[in-house]
Amino acid sequence: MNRTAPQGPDPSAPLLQVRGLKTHFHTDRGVVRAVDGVSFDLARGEVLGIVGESGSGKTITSLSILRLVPGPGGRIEAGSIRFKGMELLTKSDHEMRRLRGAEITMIPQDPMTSLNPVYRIGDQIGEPLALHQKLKGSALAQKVLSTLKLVQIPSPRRRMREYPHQFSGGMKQRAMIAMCLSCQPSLIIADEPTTALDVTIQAQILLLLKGLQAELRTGIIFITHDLGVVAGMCDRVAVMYAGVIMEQADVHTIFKNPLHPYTQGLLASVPKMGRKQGRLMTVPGQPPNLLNLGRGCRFAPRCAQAEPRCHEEEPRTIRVSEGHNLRCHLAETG
Amino acid sequence: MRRFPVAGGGILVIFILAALFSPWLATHDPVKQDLANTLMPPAWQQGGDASHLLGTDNLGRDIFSRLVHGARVSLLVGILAVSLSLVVGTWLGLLAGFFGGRIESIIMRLTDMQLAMPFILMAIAIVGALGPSTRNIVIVLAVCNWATYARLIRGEVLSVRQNEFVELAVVNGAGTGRILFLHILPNVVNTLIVMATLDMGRMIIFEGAMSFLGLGVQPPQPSWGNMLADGRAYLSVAWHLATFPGLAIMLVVLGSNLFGDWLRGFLDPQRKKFLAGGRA
Repeated sequence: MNRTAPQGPDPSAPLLQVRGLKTHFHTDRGVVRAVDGVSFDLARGEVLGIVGESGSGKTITSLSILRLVPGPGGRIEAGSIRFKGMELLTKSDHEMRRLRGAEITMIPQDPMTSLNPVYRIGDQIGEPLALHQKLKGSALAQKVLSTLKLVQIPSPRRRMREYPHQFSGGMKQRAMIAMCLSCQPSLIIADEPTTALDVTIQAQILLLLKGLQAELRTGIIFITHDLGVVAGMCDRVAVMYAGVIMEQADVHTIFKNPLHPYTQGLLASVPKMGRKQGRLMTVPGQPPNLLNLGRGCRFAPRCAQAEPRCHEEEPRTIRVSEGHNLRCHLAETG
Repeated sequence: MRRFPVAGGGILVIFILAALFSPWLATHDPVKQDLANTLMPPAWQQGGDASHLLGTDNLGRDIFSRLVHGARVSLLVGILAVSLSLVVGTWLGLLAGFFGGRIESIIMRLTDMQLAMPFILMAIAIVGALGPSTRNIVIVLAVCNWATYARLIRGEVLSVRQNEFVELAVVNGAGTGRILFLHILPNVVNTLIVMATLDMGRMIIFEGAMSFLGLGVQPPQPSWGNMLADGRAYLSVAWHLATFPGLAIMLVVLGSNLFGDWLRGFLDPQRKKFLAGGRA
């Protein structure tokens, strides 16, 4: 791979290529290695699910891609993020601003506070269009209207003149998706976009997102801890734990043939319908303190299958089969 | 949605018109003394005269004419002082609340210093340095008042920026200026309006206090503040000297509060739906 990245987008390059990404937080008590060497690829029109417990670095990974690591003390320390072949980590703030909303965007978690209460829905959805495509007046209104139709908001002509408080939670989420889609970005990061919604509305929104993704050939990074959503939405899954990807494979492999003990534990903790179960299964123990990680595998203290060397030596990421990566000693020995 | 406050708006309109057209409304020259007719009671009292509607003061000047001319000074000082401190305070509050860190520390320590300083001391110091004049009163009042706005707005910004719409705007490529002025500022305007309309009255009263100390509007030019101050000495023999300017201040404060309350509701999208008779 050549080190000097071309400045313009390269149509042959994969949509997103993250290599060895490290994002650390320098705090008074030491360095928190929130993201500690994450690598993955995303093709055009592909949906990658990132799953993991709270604090495993899912959100920081996605904020790093947008170059919006929260300060103070947060910094991308190492790695490379190539978007359509362009290195994002060396771009200026101004160049990043022009990419955000136009090419890369993020659907936030909470639809309730994600719309500005003082503006009409139509004006807000039009903001990325006004910023990036410099649309004005009736051309802008037309585009906003068609975007609202895209996300299936009923009577969009009337709805675009309403204020956020007149929208229900599900409608707000649709409006936000409309806002994020308005410039037709090629990469959307969806950070648990449905956790704040009712289950029935969740299903609607996910279906909508999946449909739009197929229609517009958008790449999506789907961050969630809901494995049911992963099964329905994603093409590939990356399981994160304590800042690293423990296992990465296509969705069928992850569900049928999980190799990492942590993935197995996560899957076992999903209650099964129709099966009589005494207690719910859990992965015992707590996630490690990212301030002082031990020498061995990060998961070893909670791992039921841990061997002595798991506590001594950190495993490397190995390729088990095409598209199936694993970070575990047990698989190496077979 | 409440209806337009006819009384509150009406009072304000009447006083603003009075201030604008004072040379034509006044029946007498407001500074002309008439030592033969001092302390005349209002026209409807015994000893009153129809030519002096609200009576005369201790130097025989017509109180109605002085009141009408004083409206000009008092309203001007009130409006300018509020606007100036609002603009400065809001700017600093926005910066402090949004950027945090060192910028916030510096601005907030400045406001602490400002708020710890007694108003009168500051007023004496500034007027002592600049000399008393209407312009300098506005400066004094603004200097003594911006800190409350800065504090208030900083607090509001801290809470508004927690909303995800701010993050969403960043994610969609909005720059810092756009986020501050187009996304955060409109969300704190309501607070500003309430604060400013309440402050209007305070500023007029402060102008009076300064004039009372001889630091404000200089005699013989009339302002409601110095009329009130002059009248105080004669309260036991001539009630009308202090009562009418006091009443004028009270009415303007009341009017601006009623108007501000209505304006706040008018600008709040959540309340607009009641105007339309509920959600269609």
